[in-house]
Amino acid sequence: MAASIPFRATMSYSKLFTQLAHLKVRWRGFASSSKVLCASSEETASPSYGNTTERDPFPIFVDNEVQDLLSKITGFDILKVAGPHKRHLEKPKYRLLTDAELKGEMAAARDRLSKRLQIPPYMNPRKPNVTPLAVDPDLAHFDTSNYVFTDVTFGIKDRDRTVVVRETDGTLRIAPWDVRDRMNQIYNPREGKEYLKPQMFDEKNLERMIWEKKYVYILDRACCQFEPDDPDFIRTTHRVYKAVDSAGDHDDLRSTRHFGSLAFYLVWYKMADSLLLDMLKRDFASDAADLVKLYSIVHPQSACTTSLKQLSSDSNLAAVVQVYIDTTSTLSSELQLALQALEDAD
Amino acid sequence: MAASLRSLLQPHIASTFLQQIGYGNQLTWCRNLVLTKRLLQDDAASIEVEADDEESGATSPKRQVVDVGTSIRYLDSKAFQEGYGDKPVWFHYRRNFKGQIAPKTRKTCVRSGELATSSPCPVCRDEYLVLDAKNTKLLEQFISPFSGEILDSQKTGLCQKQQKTLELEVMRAQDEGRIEKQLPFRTYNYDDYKS
Ligand SMILES: [Zn+2]
Repeated sequence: MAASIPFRATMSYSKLFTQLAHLKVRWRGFASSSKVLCASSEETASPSYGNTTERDPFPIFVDNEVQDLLSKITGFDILKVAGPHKRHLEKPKYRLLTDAELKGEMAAARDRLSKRLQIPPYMNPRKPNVTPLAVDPDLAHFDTSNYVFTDVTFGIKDRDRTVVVRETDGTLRIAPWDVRDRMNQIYNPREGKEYLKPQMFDEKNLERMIWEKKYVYILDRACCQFEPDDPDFIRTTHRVYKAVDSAGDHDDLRSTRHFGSLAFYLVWYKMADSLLLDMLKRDFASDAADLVKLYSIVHPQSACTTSLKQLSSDSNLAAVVQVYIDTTSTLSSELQLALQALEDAD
Repeated sequence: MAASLRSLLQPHIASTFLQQIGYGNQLTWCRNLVLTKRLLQDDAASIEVEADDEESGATSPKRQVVDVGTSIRYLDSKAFQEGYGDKPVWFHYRRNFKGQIAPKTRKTCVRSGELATSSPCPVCRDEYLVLDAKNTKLLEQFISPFSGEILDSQKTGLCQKQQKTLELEVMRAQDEGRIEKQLPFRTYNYDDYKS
């Protein structure tokens, strides 16, 4: 168990410290109690999208079928996945290989690259912990600053780490998320994450970068900087997805790890029409059908799902898309035209 | 006399200075003497700056201070295009050194607001080049497009003062998202997020 004192650390504090750490606190009990507190605490300021925020998207997101559909939609343009990205330059290595060895190397490289398409988890924003663990008025004004206690046991995961704060009024509570993130970065630093949030994620800079269409870079950096359930992460990514959707730049994200997130976000908030149109215009009929299937999984109560169930299992892709156009679409005339053009081409 | 002169001069000037004595070039000799005189003047002048300004404000010997906005406009201008072409500003700069291995670049080209050397570095020689986080066009000339790393001062010839400024401004620009930086790939373990 280690603890960090903000601003000052003197020898005379060490004794008080040990006492504080053991006062009324059974350390291991927190892991279970924190979850209960999470559930009971009040909701964060999340965007009002109606009832959809109440549901937790993560269990649906990690479902195998959904993951399969998402990775199929993403596609695998090897030139884009293996394309140039900034890293330290090394001298190339040359080797003489037999045909069989070359084939093996190619397969290994493909394997390695497909791991780069892992989709970042799609989650709801996390809730703040407000209920105090213990209130000790006797300890009030023991110092002028808060004490943060961090569990630095070896091998513990960042998300399971116990971080508590003893406040100046003697209250002991689970550390707020931002304190927690900073403590994690101090004791278990992760490469690519800054201690302070980069100014890039401020409103002004973010809008500038979206205007410059640096979508992939913003999303990549957001992944490095934030946890997937950080409200900042969700705000940033949703802003970018919205910009991509309204600008019709869906193709910029194709064959990157963020395309799945984009598709899931659009389907979740029932805004997938322009993405579907983009797919049909680019001749990705099977992708379009997969998107409709995804829609039916995410919204099992919708009209689209019920009509889709009535379809025979071996019906063609166009029929599946047709169901979506008939039941849920808001851009039905344009979609109908695109689908018609696609069928005529075949 | 020579000893006292040497102590007055900055080390790097002293070396070129003595080198040039060896060549016996009278012109260079004179130029260096003028430089020495000016440096000496600075010490005295700093005390009576106000008095000087009143008398000859128009012919100020000090270096012009240019703001960032002007510098950004300069980089887009025709004058810049004619001066540097499509190459980075450091491309045609050649350092003047003895032997095969280039020594570390000098500490600074500008002392007390005035050029203190006859071969200032690519940024110091042009007052209109201002290293600033907003001036991304200039900063990108000192960054490798492949690795996103800052080029070595041995390659670009920047003096150490400008190199330090460059590093700081690039960090600032990366923080504001004006310049892209290297990002590691983050792998998620979905099981961690199942609560
Ligand atoms: Zn310089």
